[in-house]
Amino acid sequence: MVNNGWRYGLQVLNYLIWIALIGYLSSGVSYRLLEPNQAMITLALTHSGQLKGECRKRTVEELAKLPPNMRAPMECPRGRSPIEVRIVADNQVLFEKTLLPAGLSGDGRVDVYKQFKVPSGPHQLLMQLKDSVKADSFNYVREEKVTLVPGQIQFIEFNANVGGFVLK
Amino acid sequence: MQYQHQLLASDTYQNTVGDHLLKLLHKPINHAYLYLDKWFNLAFGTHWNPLYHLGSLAIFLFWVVLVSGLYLFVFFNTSILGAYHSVEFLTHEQWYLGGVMRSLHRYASDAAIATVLLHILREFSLDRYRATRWFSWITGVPTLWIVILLGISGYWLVWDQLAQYIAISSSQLMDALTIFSSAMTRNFLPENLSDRFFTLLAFLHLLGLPVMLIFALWIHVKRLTKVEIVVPRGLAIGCFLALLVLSLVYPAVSHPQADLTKAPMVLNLDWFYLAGFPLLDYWAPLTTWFLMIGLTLLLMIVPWLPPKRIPASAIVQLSHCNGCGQCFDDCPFDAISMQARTDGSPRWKREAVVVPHLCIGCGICVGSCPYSNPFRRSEVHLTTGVDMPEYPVHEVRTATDKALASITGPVKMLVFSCSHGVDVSDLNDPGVGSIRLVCTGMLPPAFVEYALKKGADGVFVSGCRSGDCFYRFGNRWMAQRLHGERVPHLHARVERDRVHVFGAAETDKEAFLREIAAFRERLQKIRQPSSEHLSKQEEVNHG
Ligand code: HEM
Ligand code: SF4
Ligand code: SF4
Repeated sequence: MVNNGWRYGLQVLNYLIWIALIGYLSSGVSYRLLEPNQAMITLALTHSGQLKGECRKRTVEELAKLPPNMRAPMECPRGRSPIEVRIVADNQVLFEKTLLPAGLSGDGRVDVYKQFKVPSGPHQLLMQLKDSVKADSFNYVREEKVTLVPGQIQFIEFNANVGGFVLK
Repeated sequence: MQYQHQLLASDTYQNTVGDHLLKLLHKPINHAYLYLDKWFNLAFGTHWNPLYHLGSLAIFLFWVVLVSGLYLFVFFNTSILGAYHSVEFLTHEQWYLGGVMRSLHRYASDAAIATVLLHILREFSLDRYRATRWFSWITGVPTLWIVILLGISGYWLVWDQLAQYIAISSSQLMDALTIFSSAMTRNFLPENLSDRFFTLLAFLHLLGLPVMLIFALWIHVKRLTKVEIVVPRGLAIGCFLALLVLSLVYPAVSHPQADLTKAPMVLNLDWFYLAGFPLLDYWAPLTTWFLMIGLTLLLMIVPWLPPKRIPASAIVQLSHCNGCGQCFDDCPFDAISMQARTDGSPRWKREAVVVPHLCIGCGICVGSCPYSNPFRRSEVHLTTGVDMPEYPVHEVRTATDKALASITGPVKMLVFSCSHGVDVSDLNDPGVGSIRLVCTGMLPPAFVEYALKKGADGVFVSGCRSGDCFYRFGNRWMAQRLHGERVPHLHARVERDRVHVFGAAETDKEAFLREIAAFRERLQKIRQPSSEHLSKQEEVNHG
């Protein structure tokens, strides 16, 4: 049988293997998210599409049928238009989607958060958005040239109040 | 021909396709553990073998995490702007204490999850999770999730680039569920960064999840008795020192501070807790959700893939129960309770009651009962206080009689084995008879004396390897009873030289045969004392 000295030696050996394994898996193995010559474009968009229908004045008869507390003179459909978004970088489509409004009655907001890895350097960005079923084509368009350093994040956001796409 | 008795009832794999497939899956892992166990038994001894204490080792590591965490909390700044610097202060300015505490906190958490994974794999491969044991398994699953979430939220609190990566990836995952009215990712746009989420996370990590973990662990072991909460001291000291050495040699450090306008390029992930995140870089969040939920559900139903057949549960015979409570004390699965007498007996106050759905059919209670005494010939049919319907103690006595009658040769040995240790059915040794019990814990000590009185030269009891038992305590209780340390005792008048206890797993056949041979030699010496021994004896007699 093994004597105590040997036994403690073997224990130390086992503990060393154990902590080597723990240390290694805990912070010894790296994971590369971006190559040294890559940057990131993040599309972070939140927007409510325009109402689908027009508001309409209720007739007197219609108003009379409604319970007294709900007799609003105008009837507005709650549903909002889906939003079409298209992002192109140097003729390459990064994102192209029709996004449905959230909520059961389709009256909510649209939220998008998407990250795209791109090579660093100059890029020609084309950003297009359509937020109304009544429009025939994209009613917000912005074109911009950006130059990205490695590891930089180019945010593309949207704010209709300041005219549409915002680059940050 | 020697007699070999195999009890009809089987608690191991059935002859069904499902069980055959499962066995194919279990065996390689099981054998790997058996070999590792052997190596660890050599280094640590059976008492300190870490693989025999994985559950309590994980609990010990949580203690280290808790104490080091409390220290970190004293210096930690729970605001998103102050967090990073407070951790940097601990790591660098106060490396000798705060830094060590931080490293201990991280490495003990890593060791804990690694230990838990080994624990799951072990219970699985040893088939200790099906039948009535489903409860421990199922309750383990949410416990595991709590531990994982604790780890992830901990990395979040450092608010370095790794935290930034985790925060954004987790938010994308949450946003895919669209149950929150506002998108979680919006919290991590540079202009929106606020303390809101950070405080929630800090609360979860510092209080919410730890409290949930304690509660979950309490439930996890609720159907077991005498749960080992405290790991053997030698193992605790060894583990702690090892983590301390790792902390000093390879201290845990942060990545650069989070900057939401810059993308992290290379991260040193902690693969113990964060291994799932890279998946999110390749798969859509919904795919990841399906995978996570699918795996969790699969893990939850594993105890029924396929269901395990277990022997019928123990039955109490009130006429033979004096309410001593020994079975209650010995049942490893909390299936017996002691209640007020229901038969109006004027002599006894209490009686044993078995809860059938908790009983796993191990028979350990039969070995505890003072009425399991084969010498009681007043009854033609041997009845005991608590018995197994599929292999009653009467049958064990009949088998013992038959086995004893069948053994031939100069040295007669009777082996009591169990269905989870070494297989003795192919011994082919005319001098050895064998009786296979479900668990050696079922062996009432009086049977050993009985066998020796009825003609056996020696009794050899072979259960699971010492330190570990399929039924948790079977081999331990048996050995303690035979050594007179636990009731019912093996009678003091029994010559201890003629009784041998040896734990042997199914891979220990050779060691088992060597042990049998050595025991035979010993018995031979007792039977035919050497001339030297004889002359000494004569001297004594004549002197
Ligand atoms: C998260 C931390 C966990 C800890 C600290 C822990 C701890 C323990 C402890 C102390 C025992 C009792 C061992 C004994 O005294 O015999 C036990 C039993 C058990 N654990 Fe865990 N456990 C954890 C997670 C899990 C998980 C995730 C699973 C499976 C999915 C699991 C499956 C089992 C099973 C099946 C048993 C019952 C063994 C038996 O019936 O003999 N455990 N655990
Ligand atoms: S057979 Fe006896 S000891 Fe085993 S689980 Fe059932 S009641 Fe408990
Ligand atoms: S060990 Fe036997 S006598 Fe004692 S309480 Fe249990 S069944 Fe009754």
